[in-house]
Amino acid sequence: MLSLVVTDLRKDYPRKPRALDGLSITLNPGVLGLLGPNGAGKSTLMRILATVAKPTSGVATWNGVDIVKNPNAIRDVLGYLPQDFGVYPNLNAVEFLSYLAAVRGLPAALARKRIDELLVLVNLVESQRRPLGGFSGGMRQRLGIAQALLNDPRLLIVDEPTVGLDPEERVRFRQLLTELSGERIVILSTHIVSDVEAIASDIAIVAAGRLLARGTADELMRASGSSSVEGAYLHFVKSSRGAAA
Amino acid sequence: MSFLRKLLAIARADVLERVRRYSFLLTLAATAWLGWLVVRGQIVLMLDAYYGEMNGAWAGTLVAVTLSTLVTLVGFWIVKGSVEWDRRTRVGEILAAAPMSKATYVLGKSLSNFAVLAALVVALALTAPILVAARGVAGGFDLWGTVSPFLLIALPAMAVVAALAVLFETFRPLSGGAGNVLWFFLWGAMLAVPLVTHSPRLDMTGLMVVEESAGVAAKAVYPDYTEGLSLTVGGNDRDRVKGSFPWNGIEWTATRIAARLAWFGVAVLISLCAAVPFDRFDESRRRSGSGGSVPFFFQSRGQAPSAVPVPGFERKRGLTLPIPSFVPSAYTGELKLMLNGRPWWFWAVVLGLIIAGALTPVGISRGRILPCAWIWPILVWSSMGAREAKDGAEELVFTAPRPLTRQLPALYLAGVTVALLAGSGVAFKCVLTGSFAGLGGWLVGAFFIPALALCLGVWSGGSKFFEAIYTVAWYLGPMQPVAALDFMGASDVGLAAHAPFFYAAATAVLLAASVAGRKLKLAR
Repeated sequence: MLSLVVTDLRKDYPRKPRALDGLSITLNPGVLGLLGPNGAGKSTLMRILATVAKPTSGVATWNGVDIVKNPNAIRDVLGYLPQDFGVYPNLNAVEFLSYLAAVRGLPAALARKRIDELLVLVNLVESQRRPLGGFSGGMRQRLGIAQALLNDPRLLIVDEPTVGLDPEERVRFRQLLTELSGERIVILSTHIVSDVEAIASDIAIVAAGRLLARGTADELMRASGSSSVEGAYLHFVKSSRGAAA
Repeated sequence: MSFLRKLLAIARADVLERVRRYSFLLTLAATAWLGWLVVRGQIVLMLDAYYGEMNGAWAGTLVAVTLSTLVTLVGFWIVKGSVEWDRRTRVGEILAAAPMSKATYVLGKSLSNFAVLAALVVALALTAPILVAARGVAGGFDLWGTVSPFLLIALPAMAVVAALAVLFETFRPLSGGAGNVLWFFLWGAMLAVPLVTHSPRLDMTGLMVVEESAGVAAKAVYPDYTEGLSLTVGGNDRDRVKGSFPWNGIEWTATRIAARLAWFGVAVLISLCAAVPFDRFDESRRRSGSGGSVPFFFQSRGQAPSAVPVPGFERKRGLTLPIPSFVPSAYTGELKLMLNGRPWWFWAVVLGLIIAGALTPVGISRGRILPCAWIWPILVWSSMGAREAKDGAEELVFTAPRPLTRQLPALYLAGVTVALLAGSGVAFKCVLTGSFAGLGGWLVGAFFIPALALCLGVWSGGSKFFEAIYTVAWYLGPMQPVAALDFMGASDVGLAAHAPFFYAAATAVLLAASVAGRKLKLAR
């Protein structure tokens, strides 16, 4: 079974508060929803797991292999949608996806087939030959989702994926993530609690670089004495601030 | 195979992205203009006081040498920026998570740079047959003689420049404006050192190969021929021409070909070196405060308070108070944005130049200290007009009231203040010694430089254009000195040619162009 194990991860940035402070977590197939206030360390954690950034200390392993020391062990099976990503404005969707498919090592014929499927999936078929510079925020976000799925990843990391999507697209994306989650690990970070509730089988609440609580929506509500996930989230975050003070 | 596919994919996407920009069309137009200068005889290749008869070999060599010297200078600035583009568009973060080595990425970028420069080579190479048709000797065109200089002189030089541009980008201290300025001096050294030291191994531009081969032909006809290859722009050398000689092109021996092709190997090595400092878009490896995705003036110095009381507005007088067009706080704000965060050694050098300007004899003060004082803040000026776009603050700055009459003049005056401050020691010396003509030139320069920076920043949306043009003008004008380009009145020849009057008028034109450019941007 796939497993991603994070042990005592720390990340310091020069002249900034510690972003991750000894965070440990084990992930198995399914969707993990990461909830936390701004600056909690969610994006830092995701960037480290996506091998974009290196931790100051700590270990992260993918099926037992240290991905900090051997990032290529995970890159072949990784799909990553950063929180704030850009595109080449003068390329069109097919060219951009072909480029990223090649960089990910997909054979040309398979890449073409996969791109056609993904463009249908994210509803960009009609705009596939338009320069990306003219794409709306929502279209760009859908393109980002498509690129993250290019290599049919075993580990999918998506940071604020529904930002800019209209309600219909959001529902569609929620369904997509739920369908994808069966045999892979999906890490979803968002501020939208309803998204996490709808998609994630497992929720982790993070603040000040630490893991505050983890469990199903019911478990978190029970532990906090709240009637909603939002209430549970606020309870844990406020408790941690109180403890810190 | 996978490596090659990734390499080509990176290069292809990058090339497509670049050639579809309007700026690429402008680059091609500039190349065509350069070709026009060659055909008109405005660019002249000479050995001592002689030149070759206009056949395919000479035309090809003339154009290829133009490419390997003049176009490599500008070409570097044209292609540098592809890694930064990935950083700014944040495509880099997606690439960083892909199974691709740093070496593959930098080699792909070098290849892309090379493809763009090779396109310029092809565009300018078309000039050679036109040159032969227009001014050639009968039956003078031969294909190999015409084409070989492009393949073996121009292209290897372009490969090195393409790789150096990537190296400059991945090595943080050289990735910004400092690298753009340094390139000019490195380029000059790459041109001069092999000729001065007679080291063919360092001859990246291929000038020594041309000199060696054509020199033999010149010597055969003119026994008084002495070594000395020159490429001049403007046709000023025509007066000293003594004659022409027949030449059928460089005899490409195996040794010569190998020596030229070795530069492709050097380019690959430089590219691989570029992989070492490449941070793979890991922003945490960059020094804090160097930017990142958040504009620096939005970054907090300390911890934000957990709760900030919301101030109430005094509504008695309403919120629509008449605010004057120019407000001093806008000026001080722009000055702070320009100067805040500069390291102590920046100010130490400024202070040293002020003191040196005041204490040295007036000739040295004007001729040497002033150019130094006004090249030092080049990176301060180069952000003018472009900073808003770079920091992603355009919508905030340009939606403020009266951006044309408030922010733009404030920005310009802040730039002028920097020039006045940096050159104050020289001004003091001019006043002290009664050199009022020099003082006039100094004053014009102080207003001209920020106007040039502002205009180029507004129209190009970046800082590279100013950094490139200003460095070249600074070297040729005040330093050489070429009278017509002496925009700061540093030399007596510049003052005698009334250069300050021209640059005073040019300042007004540049300011008008800045306003027009900003107006256009606001209207979009």
